[in-house]
Amino acid sequence: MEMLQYDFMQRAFLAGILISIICPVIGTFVVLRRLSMIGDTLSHASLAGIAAGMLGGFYPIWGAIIFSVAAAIGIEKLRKSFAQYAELSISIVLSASIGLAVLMISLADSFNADLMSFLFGSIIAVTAIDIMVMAGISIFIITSVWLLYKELLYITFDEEGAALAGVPTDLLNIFFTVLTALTIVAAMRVVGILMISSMLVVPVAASMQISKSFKSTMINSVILGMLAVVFGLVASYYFNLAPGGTIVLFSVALLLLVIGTKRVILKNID
Amino acid sequence: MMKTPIIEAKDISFAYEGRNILDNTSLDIYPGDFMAIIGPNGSGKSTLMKICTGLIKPKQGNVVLFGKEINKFKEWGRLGYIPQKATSFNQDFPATVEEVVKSNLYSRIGLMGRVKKQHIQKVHEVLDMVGMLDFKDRLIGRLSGGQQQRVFIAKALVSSPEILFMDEPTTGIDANSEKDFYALMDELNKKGITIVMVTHDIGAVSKNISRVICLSRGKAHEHGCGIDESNLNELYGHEVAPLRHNH
Ligand SMILES: Nc1ncnc2c1ncn2[C@@H]1O[C@H](COP(=O)(O)OP(=O)(O)O)[C@@H](O)[C@H]1O
Ligand SMILES: [Mg+2]
Repeated sequence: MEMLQYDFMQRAFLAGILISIICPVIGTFVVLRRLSMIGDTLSHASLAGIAAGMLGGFYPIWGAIIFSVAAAIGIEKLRKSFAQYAELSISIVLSASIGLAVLMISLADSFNADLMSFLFGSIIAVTAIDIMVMAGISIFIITSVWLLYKELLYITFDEEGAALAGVPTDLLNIFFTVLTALTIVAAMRVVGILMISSMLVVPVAASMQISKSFKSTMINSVILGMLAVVFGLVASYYFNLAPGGTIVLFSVALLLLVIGTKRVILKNID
Repeated sequence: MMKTPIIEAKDISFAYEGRNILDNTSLDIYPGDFMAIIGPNGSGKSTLMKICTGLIKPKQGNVVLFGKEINKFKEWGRLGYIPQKATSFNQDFPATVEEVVKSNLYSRIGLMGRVKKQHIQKVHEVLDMVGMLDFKDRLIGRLSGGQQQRVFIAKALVSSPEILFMDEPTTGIDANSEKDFYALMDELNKKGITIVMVTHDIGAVSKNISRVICLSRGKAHEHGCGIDESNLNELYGHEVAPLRHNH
């Protein structure tokens, strides 16, 4: 474990652990609400924000937070106009975000290494400030989900029933989408914008294969996510690969392993 | 003494995309009623039920729940509602029976309220009442349609409602489950819970049903005040089985 002697690796692991908690926790709701596309949309909005930060000369993560939260609110507002097609509002905001990102990048004339590190993820680029921002965001997300767990579960399983019981569903929907936006901003530094969406979805998909309740789906997806992050960071360090790619590939490998093992076990039972 | 209605829907009109569904019609529901709402497909039965539970707003008219105007009403736990498509949720949803019933504790404990021991006891009590306690740790999607429906009834009961609305509860469940279902409804009604259900099985409606409302051409008619078996055929537009209850 000599790699942990390096400050940047300590930071990368700390960031990785935070990501492997918040991504699957939020991802469980995202997947079960059938909103898997939302990750891509909000991460591209973050990209536009980062480019805006580089263009305007301010901390790009602030730009990412502002743009992705604005996109989150935009999605929820548009959803009202397309009640039967929730995914349409997501696609519209995705198009707008990509357009804006491309525009900002060309304006900033800065398709540089820094931007690349945001796209593909990086272990060396994580600064102490990044870690502080990520920790703050993570604490906010975990506390919110802890306090609103039963409400979020209710709107995920049965939105109409929740509305009838008096749950403020409109407010909660917006708040949840904002939490998703913040999750993406927190994960983006290490996993990379292109691969964040998979971190929301893949560990949860694997967990659903083996879990026997909503709570265990969430807990198992965190465990699987953590394994993928640890293996992914180690591989990234030793083979000098972009961590986003290794983490996502490990999580897909875990998913296949889970599906395969389940098949074998079920066969032996029959 | 005259009983006061617990739900009053007055002069309700409703239209979807310019097409009138309900046309200046009224409905009063009294405590202890066991009401069946019948009527042809598309006559607005589900719409009327959603208006009574505040899920949609009428174009005209107003709804009074437990003596309060609906937009001032807050005690949603006093109402239970099981929608028409309750059991057509995503069958892979990884929630246990207990988790599903627990979700509706919201009306008891409110926003960010914590679930305590006594709440879990209540969850087990209602699951026992519908005969599903042994299944509490099973995944909801792995149960039969009839069993899922019992879980949804338990979910509604966990807030201790005084009135239970059910939209076509017996559609898609087998004859045995249907018998059990009506037995459970009779039991709940005897305990004092008002029951309102939309149903098509006019022949099979429980003997204990006290009022039958027929919805047709935007109006709600009470059986016995203008509707008899002969014009029921006309209302439905085809031959229907006669009502089999004696009073
Ligand atoms: N969301 C909706 N948008 C447009 N039309 C609707 C909607 N819901 C129901 N309708 C129409 O309103 C009419 C009444 O519907 P509904 O109340 O569900 O009838 P019922 O429950 O008696 O079968 C039907 O003709 C139906 O097609
Ligand atoms: Mg209907």
